[in-house]
Amino acid sequence: MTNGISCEDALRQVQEYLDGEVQTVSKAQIKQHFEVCSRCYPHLNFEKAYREAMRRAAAGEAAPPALRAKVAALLAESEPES
Amino acid sequence: MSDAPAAMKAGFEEEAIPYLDAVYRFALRLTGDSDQAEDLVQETFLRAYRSWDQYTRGTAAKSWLFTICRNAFLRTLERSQRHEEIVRENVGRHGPDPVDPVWLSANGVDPEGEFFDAIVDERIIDAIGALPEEFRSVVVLADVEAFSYAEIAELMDMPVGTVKSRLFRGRRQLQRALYEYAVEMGYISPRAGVESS
Repeated sequence: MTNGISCEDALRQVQEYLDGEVQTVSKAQIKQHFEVCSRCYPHLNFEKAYREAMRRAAAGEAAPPALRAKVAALLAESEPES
Repeated sequence: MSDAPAAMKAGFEEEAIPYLDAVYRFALRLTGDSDQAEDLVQETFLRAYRSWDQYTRGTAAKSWLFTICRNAFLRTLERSQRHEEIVRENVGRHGPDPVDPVWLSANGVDPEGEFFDAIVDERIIDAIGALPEEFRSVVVLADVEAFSYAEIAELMDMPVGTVKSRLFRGRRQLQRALYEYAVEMGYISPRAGVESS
C-alpha cells in the first residue's frame, strides 16, 4: 500500500490503465502506485510484456498481393448501390 | 454532392482499401485459415462496396469494415459445424472466470513475464486461434488492432461491460496458455507447488 490507492485497486485496474481506459480512479494515482510499489510493479511489466508479444506476433501481417488484386478485380466488376 | 460511381469508387479506394491488411489479419484470426480468410476479405470488401452509400465519409471506416467482416464470419459459422461455438458463447457468458491471474503462477519464477519474449510468433498466433470466438475477437480487436472498449462494443453490438469482461478473461486464458507453453518448452521452471492448473 502506498499513498493514494491500494495494491488491490491498482492491480484490479491494471488492464484499464494500460488500455488507456481508466475511469474510477485517476490515471495519475495508478501510475504513482506502480512507480513506488515494488510488489505491484512486476505485474505491470508482465502485462506490458504480454501486449508487446501480441503486437510483435500478430500486428505486422499483410494481405497477400494476390488477394489485393482479387479485391481490386471484384470492385471493378461491381457497382456501389446508390 | 456527387453520387457518381466514379466518385464513390474513388472514396472507397481512399477510405476503405487502406484497411485491407488489417481486415485480412482479423479474418485470419477469426477463421484460422488463409484460404477462408481470403474468401472472407473478398466478401467483406464486396459487401462494404455495395453499401458504401450507407457509410458516412470520414468516420470510422476501420470499425465499419471489421463489423462487416465479423458479421459475415458469424453467418458462415452459423451454417457450419462450428455452430457449437456460438452456443458455448451464449451459455458461458456470465460464468465465473475459472482462470487465475497468470502472474500468480509466474510470481517468483518470471514475475515480469520475460517468457513472452521467448515465444515465437507462430505459437502466439496458434494460442490466439485456440481461444473461443467470443474471447478471440475482443482480444484481437484490443491487443492487435488497438480499438477502444467503446469501439469494440459498437463493432460487436454488446455493452462495454461485456467487452471488458471478455477481454480480461480472454487475455487471462491466452496468458495461461502461453505460460504453460513456456514451462513445457523449458523457458521457465515453476517452483514446486506454485503453479496452479
